[in-house]
Amino acid sequence: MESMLIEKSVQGDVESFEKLIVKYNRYVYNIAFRMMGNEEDAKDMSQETLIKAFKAIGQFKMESNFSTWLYRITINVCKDELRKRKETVLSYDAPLNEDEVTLKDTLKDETYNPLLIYEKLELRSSIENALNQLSEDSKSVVILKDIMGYSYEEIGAILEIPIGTVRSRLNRSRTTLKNILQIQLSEN
Amino acid sequence: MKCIEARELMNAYIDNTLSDKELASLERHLDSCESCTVEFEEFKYMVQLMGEIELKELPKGFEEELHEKLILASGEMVNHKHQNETAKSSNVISIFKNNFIKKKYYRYSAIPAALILVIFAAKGLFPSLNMAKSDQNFESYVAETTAAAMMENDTLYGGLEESKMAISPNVGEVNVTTSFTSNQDTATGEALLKSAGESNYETGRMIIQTSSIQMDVEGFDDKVTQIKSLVEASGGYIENENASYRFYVSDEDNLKYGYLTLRVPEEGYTLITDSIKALGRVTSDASNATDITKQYRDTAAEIENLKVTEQRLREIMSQAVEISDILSIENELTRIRGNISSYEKQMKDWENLVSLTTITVTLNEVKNLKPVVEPIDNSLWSKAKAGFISTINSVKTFFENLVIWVIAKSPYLVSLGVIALIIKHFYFKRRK
Repeated sequence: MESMLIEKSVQGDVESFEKLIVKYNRYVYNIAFRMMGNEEDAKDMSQETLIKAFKAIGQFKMESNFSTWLYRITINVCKDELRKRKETVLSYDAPLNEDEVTLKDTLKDETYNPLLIYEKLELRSSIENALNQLSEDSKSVVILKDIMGYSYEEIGAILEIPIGTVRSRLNRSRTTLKNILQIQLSEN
Repeated sequence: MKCIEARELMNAYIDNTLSDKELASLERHLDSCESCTVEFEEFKYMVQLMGEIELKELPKGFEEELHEKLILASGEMVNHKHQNETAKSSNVISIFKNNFIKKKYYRYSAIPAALILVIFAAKGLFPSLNMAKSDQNFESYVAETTAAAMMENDTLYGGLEESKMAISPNVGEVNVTTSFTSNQDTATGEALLKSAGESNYETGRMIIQTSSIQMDVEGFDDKVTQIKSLVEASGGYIENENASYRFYVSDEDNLKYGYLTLRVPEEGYTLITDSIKALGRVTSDASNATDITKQYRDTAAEIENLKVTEQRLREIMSQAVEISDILSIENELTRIRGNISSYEKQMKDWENLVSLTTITVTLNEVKNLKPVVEPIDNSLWSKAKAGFISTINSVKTFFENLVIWVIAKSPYLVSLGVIALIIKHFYFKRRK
């Protein structure tokens, strides 16, 4: 079914392409939303992604997964845009400017699971904020793994990197994310 | 196991991708190390929270907006394909070129080149002879090409034949009222066919016609006046005019050269050029026609499309309630109106270029168009006398100037003379 739609889309049939992407639209939008950090940009980027995909569908090779291919374009479109804007992002190589603060220091008197004392919602919005401060590469791994829930193999295919790299990148990204989160919480 | 190693493995543990051996050693470490346990719990909780983040719904109108953009994109793709095809055909040419070079055919290409050289050398030897001939050649060439172009018109636009016939009587009337003096009978027929083919923008061809004529004339000023009156009679105008003396010999032998840029209505084009050519000897004649029919029609279609979009936006506008919606529709409308007017301007420019052809005439004044042996001037002796007197005068002036110079510079000369005397005096003294 999907391959038939792809073939028709290659010939420039807009309707077939729309049928093809209808189940991926929302994921593309959500990846873009997490990458860009706001709804306005997410809409622009996801539409740009889908149009790019439509124009380039002739280059899509049937042996790989269509969704993988589509998400790769999404990530790349967002990365390009972010690079263009040259927003200040934190990379996992550069150390954080703030003094190293651990949650334990800030919340001495609480239990061993101090994060629990925070309102879940509040914490989640902090995480979303912290995500926006990650570098593009770190962000893409965390989004795909922890928010979208893809496996290491799938992420490797989307980002075109080996699984070992996915693993180490995820490790570093989560650590950076947690550090940012701790700084945010200590500031409040 | 050390804490650093444990931290490396923690994330893999959360994602359930650890081997049994790694799992066992990590668990053992976590049991014994408090700080790592905290760290682990924090990671686990963070990842859990991120997993609970819900997917956002698509914004309103996302698919509709996307649909419009996709339609646009598919239009672009069709255009792109066309370009690719033309690119392919040019590739064929370059492949041919490559083969040509590879197979060393270029050795044989020396033969025609040598032939051309010989021809040019011959031309160089008998320039005057060739000049007269090339005029004729050129005319016959022009006649051939126009005939070929007409054939093409007939085959491609056979259906237009009727409309041509319908238009031609009107054009004929216009031509008669302009009342040209020369060549009218022969030129009118041609002009009729030509103009009828070009005049109808919607169905016929849009051709921008430009031509340039270089010619030798007798009596520069008269000819310029004649050209001007021709152009005015045809309803055109003179865009540019320039005239100057070629070189200054004496008061009698002033020869001028200059150029005129004329804009004449397309109906009068052939008549005008023929009349101008009759004024003197044409040394060079070139004309160029650019067919913009396709671009013109594409632009017209684009305007139609934009107008449809504009109409639809206005409909949406009438239903819009929220200020933000109205503003964004307003924006879009402004953009579309801007596009429409820029396209329309482009079309006006084209129409202007097509309806008025551009002719550049370069005039070069000569004493006589046909070379003649000039009789010995009666005033030869008086000229010789004048020359002799002027020579005498110049000799006189030279001596006058010399005297003036000597007197004017005498202070320097006296002091230099004194210095020379002193040196001479000492020189002889030493020798003694």
